[in-house]
Formats: sequence, C-alpha cells, structure tokens
Amino acid sequence: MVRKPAQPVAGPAGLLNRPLPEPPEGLRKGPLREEAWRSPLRSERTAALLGMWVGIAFAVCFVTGLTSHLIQNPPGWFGWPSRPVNLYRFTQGLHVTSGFAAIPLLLAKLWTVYPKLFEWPPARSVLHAIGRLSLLVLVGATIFQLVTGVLNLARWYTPMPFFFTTTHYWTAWIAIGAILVHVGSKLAIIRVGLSGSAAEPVTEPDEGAGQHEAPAADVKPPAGVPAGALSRRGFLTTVAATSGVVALTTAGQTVPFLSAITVFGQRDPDLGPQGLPVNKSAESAGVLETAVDPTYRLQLFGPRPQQLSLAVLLSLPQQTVTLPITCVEGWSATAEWSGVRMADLLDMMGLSEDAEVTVESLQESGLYRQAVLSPPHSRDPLTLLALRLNGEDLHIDHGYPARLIAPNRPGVLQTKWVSAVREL
Amino acid sequence: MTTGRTAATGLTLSGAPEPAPSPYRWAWYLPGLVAVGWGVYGLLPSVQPLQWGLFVVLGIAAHDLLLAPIAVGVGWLLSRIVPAVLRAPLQVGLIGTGVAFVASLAYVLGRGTSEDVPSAVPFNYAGRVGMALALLWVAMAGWAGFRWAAGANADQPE
Repeated sequence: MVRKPAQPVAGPAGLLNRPLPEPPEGLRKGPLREEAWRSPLRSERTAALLGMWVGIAFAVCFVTGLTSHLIQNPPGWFGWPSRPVNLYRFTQGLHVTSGFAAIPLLLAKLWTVYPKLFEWPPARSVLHAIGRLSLLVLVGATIFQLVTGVLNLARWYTPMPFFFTTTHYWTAWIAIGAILVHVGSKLAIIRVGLSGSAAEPVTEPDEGAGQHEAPAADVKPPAGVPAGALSRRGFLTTVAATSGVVALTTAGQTVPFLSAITVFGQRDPDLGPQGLPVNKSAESAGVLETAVDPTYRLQLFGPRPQQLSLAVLLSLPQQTVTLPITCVEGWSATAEWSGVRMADLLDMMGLSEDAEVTVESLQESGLYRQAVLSPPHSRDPLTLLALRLNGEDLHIDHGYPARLIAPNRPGVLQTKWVSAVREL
Repeated sequence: MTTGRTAATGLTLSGAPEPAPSPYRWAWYLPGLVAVGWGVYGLLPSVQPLQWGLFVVLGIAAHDLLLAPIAVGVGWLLSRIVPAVLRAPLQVGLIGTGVAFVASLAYVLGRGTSEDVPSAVPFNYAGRVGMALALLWVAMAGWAGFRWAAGANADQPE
C-alpha cells in the first residue's frame, strides 16, 4: 500500500509536520518488515471495539473510584447520602469488578495494536514522534492502574515503593486523560472501525492537513489466515466472554450468591470472626490491651461533655439494624448490629441537628484512627455506636468495645475501638 | 511562513492510509490534557517521580518485551504446527489461560497474607485457578473433539 502525502501546511503546524529523513531501508528487518504482521484478527474494527470496551471499563473505574475518594475526602460542594444503604457497596464493588474485567480487554487491545510499535518509519515527523511518545503515557498509566489495583487487592504492597491510595488516585486522572487524548487523536479511524460501512471510502475534513480520502478499515482480504483459527468475531467474543468470566469470579466478594465461584476476589463475605471479614486487626492497630481495659470510658466532647462506661452504654436504649460493612477494596458483607443510636449520643452531648463530630479510635496512630461524621449520616436512625454484632459482644477485631456503623459509608470511615466523639 | 512538504500519512492496521484527523478531536484533547495535567499536579508532591516512572516503565516493558512477544510467538507456532481443527479451541484456551495467569499471579504468590488477619486473601487461589482452567480445557477439548468428529474447519476468518 502506498502512503499518500498530505497537503502542505503553513506555520508552526507545517514545521511540526515536515517529513523527517527516513532511516535506511536496510534497517527494516524482523518485526519492522511490512509483511511481518499478518494476522487478520488485527484490524481497525477490532481495535475500535476493544478500545471502546477498555474505555468503558476505565470510565466506570474512574467514576466509582472518584466517588470513593470524594466520600473519604469531601470538598465543601460534595454531599454523599446515607441512603440507599447499599449504594457505596454497589459503586465500590463495581470499581473492583470492572477493574478486573478490564485486564483481558486491555491485554487484547494492546495485542491488537502491537504491530504499531514497529511502525516504519519510526518517526515521520516531529508531530508524529510526539504522538508516539504520548502513547507511553497512555499505555504506562493504564497498565499501572491495573497492576497496582491487583496488588492492592492481593494486599501485596512490597513491590509498590509508594503509598497505594494516593498514587492510584492521581494516576487515574492521568490514565483517563490519556484515554481521552487518544480517542481524540484516533477519532476518525475509530469512526471507520465502529461503522459497519467498512467498504466505504472515508473523507474527513481537516483544517490542518487538508482533505484526503482513506479506504475504510477492513479492505485487506484475510489472506494467509490459518484454516480453523478464530475469526475476528470469534476473537472478540472470546475476549468479551473472558472479561465476563473474570467479572463474575471477582464479584463474589460483593455479591453473596457468587462467592462460591470466587477466583479473583479478596474475601469470602462469610469468613472471619463472627462470620464477618476483618480488614485491620486489633493486634496491628495496637489496641489489644486498651480495648479490654475495664477502666474504658467513652469520652463525649461537646456542650455537655460526658464519660460513659461500657455498662452505661449498654444500659442506654439499644437499637438493632442490618447493615453492610463495605471495604474500599470492594468486598462487603451484611451483618446485624446492635448499639446506641448515634443521634441519641449527639443529643446527650447537646449538639444541634447539623453538628459535625469526629469519631476517634483507641488507635494511637494510623490514617484512619478517626473519621468525620456529618449529617445525614450522623443523624440517620440506622447509624449506631455498635456494641454487639450478630447477637454477641463485638469481637475485638471488629472493634470491641464500641465501633461506628453507618449506612452507605466506606469501611475505613466506620471507626473501630471508639474512644471519643468530639464536636468539630 | 513555512510551506513545503509534509510528512506522509501512516498506515492503518489493515494497511490502508490513515484518515485525516477529525475536526472534533480538540473536544477530546482539551479535557484529556486538563485531566493529565491535574493528575501530574497531584502526583508530583505525592510520590518520588523516579520511583513512579520506573514502575510505569517496568509495566510497559513487562508487556511489550515479555507478554506480547510470548503471545505473538505462541500464535505463530499455533498457526504452523497445530492441525486446523484444533486451532480455535487452542486459541480460546490459551487466551483464557493467559488472562487467568496474569490476573491471579499476585494472589497465587500469596505474599499479601498475614497471620493476624486470616480472613484476608483466604482462598487457595492456585487451586481455584487450577479448577477454573481445568473446566476451560475440558470444554475446549470437547469442542475440539466435536470439530474433529464433524470434520469441520469451522470458524473461518471473516
């Protein structure tokens, strides 16, 4: 196929578009040869469809991840409801599931466009070279997000020489931005790939490079296809099915009836002390002694400061609610919690309906040793200072003697081993 | 004012000349570049850029220099030494196996387990992955057997 020169362009754009000298043809060996890549599975349509699926998976991951970030670090304009109680369970389960489902999609997409890595000449112009280098950001950031996400799910932090949460969050912006730029740069060819009119010539007006016609994507006959091998449709179906199976075998940590077929999930929702998983143990939090100290008192700091022993807390009106505990790592499990309504405690402290408080832990350090509790969660009748779980005293790993449990809230904000509630 | 030759267009995966860029591309570039800039702005004070960059480069290298060549090499072999009737089932089985390997490796290595939180990463992941792959390969063997019996060279490329 002969490449067709574009129209001359004036100004800096023309300078950037000026052709660079071609390297000697003798260097064009191995994978750089024009005939080196012959698989008919690779086409604009394959690349466009896979790219669209990867884009959707990353968009879902980005939106759900951003939601989780905003809940944990809420700016003034952001509000997160306390109902429906399972909303965060859904969004964060979706985050992890779609992330795992993106693995086969991204691998297939990268395999499809792998020959472009050996494009000849390597750089046709300065602009072309910049465009190729920018792909490093796209490929690097998307691989980074999936690799770090999987390592976090596997709780294997040694290979990551950075704090996972912060780095994963900021790199998500780079990844989603690079995807948008890539879509913009490939918009014309994506249209060709996604349109069914593969035999139609395509004309795209362009203010920079003039106009030219390009034959549509799938003009090359599938010559040299090994007999009996997968067709393009078969390949896409296989990738989509693999992605679906990965999603189903990940979602078991969120969706109870799928837990039996979990392969890529981090948790069994029914496994743990009192039939509930634990994320941070009392031992690792350093509260093994303070949590069972008989002199324990819950400190209430507000207009009417008070100190309440566990016996006094148990003598207050008790409520029982059924709520999920939902981890930022996507797993969730429903349990029956009993304890004192947080709204009752705030009333005892003499706080107004719109007051914000911090709920503090016996933990002496740690990123999540305290959490801000604001309306609507603070006044939701389902929000408890829980003292019992599934009919028993809280297990120490679940936050004995008292923990926060509120509807539609990440587990890291459900403070365990509560020592104080303080007016903000 | 600069005029003169401009670089020739590239070729698509199908070998056709690439179409001209869309006039609507800036509607994607602008939010994309803003998002990238915002990410870099937030990332720089949060990490050692060299460590982050090294992790990114290693990720690209692991794909481009290891995973992709293996996949391409296996595909090349498959098209040459495997009887036609077995090719599609083998392709599907190998795609599933490769994905299972990549997605489960961190779990299977088990470096994230800790004695004080036994409910975290609690499964026998190697066993579960092995069971899933066994099911996959049994299904593929059945499909291959069916194709063999039918004498079919089905699934010809489009």
